[in-house]
Amino acid sequence: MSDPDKTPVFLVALLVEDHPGVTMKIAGMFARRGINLSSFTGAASEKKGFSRIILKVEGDHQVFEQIYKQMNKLIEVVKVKTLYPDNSTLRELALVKVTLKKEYGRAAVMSLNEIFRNKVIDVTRKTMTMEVVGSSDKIDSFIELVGERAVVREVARSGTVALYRGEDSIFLD
Amino acid sequence: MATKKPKDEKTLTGTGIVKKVLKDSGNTLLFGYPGGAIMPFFDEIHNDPDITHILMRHEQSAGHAAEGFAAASGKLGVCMTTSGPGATNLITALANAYYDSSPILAFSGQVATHLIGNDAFQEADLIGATMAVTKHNYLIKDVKDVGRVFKEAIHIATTGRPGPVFIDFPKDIQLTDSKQKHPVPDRINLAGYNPNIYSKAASRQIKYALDMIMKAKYPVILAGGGISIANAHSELEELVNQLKIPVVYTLKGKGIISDDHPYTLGLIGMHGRMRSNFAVAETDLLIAIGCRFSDRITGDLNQFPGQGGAKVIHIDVDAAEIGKNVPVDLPIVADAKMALTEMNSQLRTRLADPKLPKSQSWWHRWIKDIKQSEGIPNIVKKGPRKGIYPEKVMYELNRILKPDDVVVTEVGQNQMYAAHFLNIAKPRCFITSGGLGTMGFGFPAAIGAKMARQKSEIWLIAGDGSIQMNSHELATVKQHRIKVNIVILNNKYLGMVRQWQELFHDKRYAGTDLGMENNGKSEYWPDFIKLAGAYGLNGRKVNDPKKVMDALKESRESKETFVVEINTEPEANVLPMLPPGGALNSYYSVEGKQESIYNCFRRLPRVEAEAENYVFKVDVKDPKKLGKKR
Repeated sequence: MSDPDKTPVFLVALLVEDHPGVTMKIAGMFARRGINLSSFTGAASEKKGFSRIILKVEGDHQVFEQIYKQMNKLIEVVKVKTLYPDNSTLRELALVKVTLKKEYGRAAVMSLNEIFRNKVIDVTRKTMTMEVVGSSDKIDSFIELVGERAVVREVARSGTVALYRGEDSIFLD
Repeated sequence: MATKKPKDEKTLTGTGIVKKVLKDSGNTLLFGYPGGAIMPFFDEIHNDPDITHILMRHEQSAGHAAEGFAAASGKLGVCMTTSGPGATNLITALANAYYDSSPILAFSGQVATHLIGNDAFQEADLIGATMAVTKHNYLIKDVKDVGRVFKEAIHIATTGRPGPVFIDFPKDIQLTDSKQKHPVPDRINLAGYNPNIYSKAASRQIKYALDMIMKAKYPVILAGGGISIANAHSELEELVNQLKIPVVYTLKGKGIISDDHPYTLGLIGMHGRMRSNFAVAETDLLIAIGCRFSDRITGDLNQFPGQGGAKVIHIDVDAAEIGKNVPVDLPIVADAKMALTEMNSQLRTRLADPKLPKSQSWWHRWIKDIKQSEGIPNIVKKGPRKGIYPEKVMYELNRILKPDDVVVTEVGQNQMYAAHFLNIAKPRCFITSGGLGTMGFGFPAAIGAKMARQKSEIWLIAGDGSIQMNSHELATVKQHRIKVNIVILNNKYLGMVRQWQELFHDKRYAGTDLGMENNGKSEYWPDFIKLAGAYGLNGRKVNDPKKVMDALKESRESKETFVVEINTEPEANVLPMLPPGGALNSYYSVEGKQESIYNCFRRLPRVEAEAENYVFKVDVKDPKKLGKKR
C-alpha cells in the first residue's frame, strides 16, 4: 500500500496535563516550526486531569526528531512516545454520507459496506451514511471505491487514535 | 483604589502572596511600569523597604532591564506591567529573552476574570500572544493558585535552559483574600518538566568525546552563551589549558574566556575574526558547547564546519538544539558545568598517562602564528586619514576598560565592532542582544546591568539609530541615579542596513539616512548632547580622533550618566564580513575586498598541515622555519 513518493507519516502519542490552552500550545508549535500536521486527536485519558493526544505528522526523520524534542520541552506535556504500525494498534473512524446514483442504486453501496464491514447508521431515499472503522488507508480506499458507485457528499474523519500493542503502555508512573 | 487588607492578618491577598514568593526567593529588584490592572500590586510594594522598584519609561525597557540584570548577575530578572498595551509592549523583551535564554519572570495585570473575553478596556489575550516567545506562560484564575504558579514560574525560568516565563494576573485575583494559612506550596510538582541536567549516559558520552578529541588532528572548541548561563567559565578555561586547543566563541559567548588567553581566537560567524572562521573551516573536530548554531554563525550549512567534512561534538542542556541545524556525531545532553567538570576530571587521568602520544603541536604553533599575524588593522592603530573610524573608538575603549567593567551594546554596526574588537576579560561582562537582535535593547539592559553590578562601570556602545529607540530611559537613569557611560557612534545612518545596501543593493540607501541635506549643509537630529541636557545630564561631542580618549575619560570620571557622542565616518563598514548564507570563499576582508578567506590567509604564514607526519610547513624560502618531523 505504501507509495514511495508519499511523504513519510508518523504518529506521536502525548500524555498532557489538561490545562486550558494546551492544544493551542501544541498546535502552535507545529505552525511555528512549519511542520505539517495531518491529524490531531485528543480527549480525556484514563487519568483525571490528563488528556491523551495522538498526532499524525508528515515529515522525514529530522522532522520526527525535532517534534519529539520540542514536544518534550512543553511543560504540560508529560509523556511523548512514537507509535509505528508494527508496535501499535491504530484505528480511525469516518462517517461517510453518499448520494445514491440511479444506475447503481443502494445495492452497489451495500455490497461495498459488506466488504469493508461498515455500519449503516442513517438512510434516506436518496442518501446513506456509513460508519467506517479501520486504518486510514482502509478509509481512503473505501471513499475512493464508493465514489465510483455513488456521490460522496460529506466525510467526517476522527483522525487516527492508537495504543501500543501488547503489554506496553504510555501512562504516568 | 486601596488594597483590601484581609481581616485575618495571617492570610494574604493575591498580591501579598506574590510579594511573599518574590521575597522568599530573594528577587526583590523589580523593573516595571504601572497601570490600571496592576495597581493593586504596586500598592502592595509601595514603601516596602525590602523591595526596590525601578520605574522605567516604557514597558519594553522594563523587560530589557530585567534581562540586563539577569545577564550581569546570573540571577532571575523580574518585570511587571499593566494589562493590554502594557503587556503587549513587553512582548519584544520577552522574545529577546527567549532567544537568548535569559531567566525572566514577567507578569502583567489583566482585566478582572469576569471580564476576560469581553474585549474589555485594556484587555488583550497575552497567553496567546506570548506563547511563541516564552518558555512557559500562565493565566491565574483562582487566588489559590497564585503561590503555586509564581513558585513554579521562578523554577521554570531559572532551571534547565533558562527562559522567560509570563504570568497573566487578573486584577480581581490580585485583590482577593486567599484565606489560606499556607498560600505557597512547599514543593513544586511538575510532572512534565524535568530539566535535563546530567545523567550517567552523559558521562559515558564524555568518554567517547575524549576519545574523539585525542584522535583529532585539528580540534576547535566553539564556546556559546550556554557556558555563561551555566557559570562554567573556569571549567572551560581548565579544559582549554589541559587540551591546549583553540577556542572560538559565538556572540553570546564573548567574555566566557578572556580575549587575552593564548588559545582564544575570537568571535566566529558573519562578522567574526578571519582567523576564527578559518580555524573552523580547517578543523576536523568541532566541540560545540552551549550554542545553537545560528545561521549567523554557520553561514552555508553544507560547508560547516571544516568545509562540511568535520565531525561535531555538541554539548547542550536542551536536547532539541542538538541536531537542529548541524548534524551531530556525538550528542551530549548535559548542563555545561557538569559536562565540563566531568570532562576535566576524565582528562586529568588520561593526560597523566605517559604513553600518550604528543600530537597537535603544529596546531599550537599555527595558532600562535595566526594570532600574531592577524593583528589590529592599521586603520585602528594609526587612525584614519580623516574623520573617526569606529575601530579607533574600540581601540581607545580597550585602553580605558578595566577588567570588571561591563560592556553593553545596542544592535547593528556598534555591536559588531564591539564584539569583534573589544577585549573582554571576564564572564558576564559583555551583554548584547544575540538571537533576536533588538535595537533599543542596550540602554535599558545597561540600566539592569548597573543594578546588578553597582561597583562596576557600565559602558553602553550604541549607534545613533538604536539609542533613539529607547532614549527616553535617560529620565530613568536621572531619576534613580544610575550611572551608565553612553558611547554613541554617530554615523548619521542606520549603519548596518546601509552597509548591506552598499554591498548588496548597489548603494541605494533606502530609508537608512537619519539626517538630511539642506542647501549643501547636512542636518542631523537630535543633538545628543542637548538631548542629555534636557534630562539634566552632561555629555561631550567628539569630532577629532585625538579627543576620543579625553571624552571617554571624562565619562568615566562623571558621577552620573554621561553621553559621549562620537561623529564617526558615515560610510565606514564593519569588516571583515561573510555575506549571509555564504561560505568562506566570498569573504569581505578588512580592506573591503571580496575574496576567498584562503586568499586572505595567503598573506600569513601558509600552513600545509600534513596530518600523517605532523609537518609544519611555512610557505617561505627559509627551510629553518620548517617544523620538525616527529
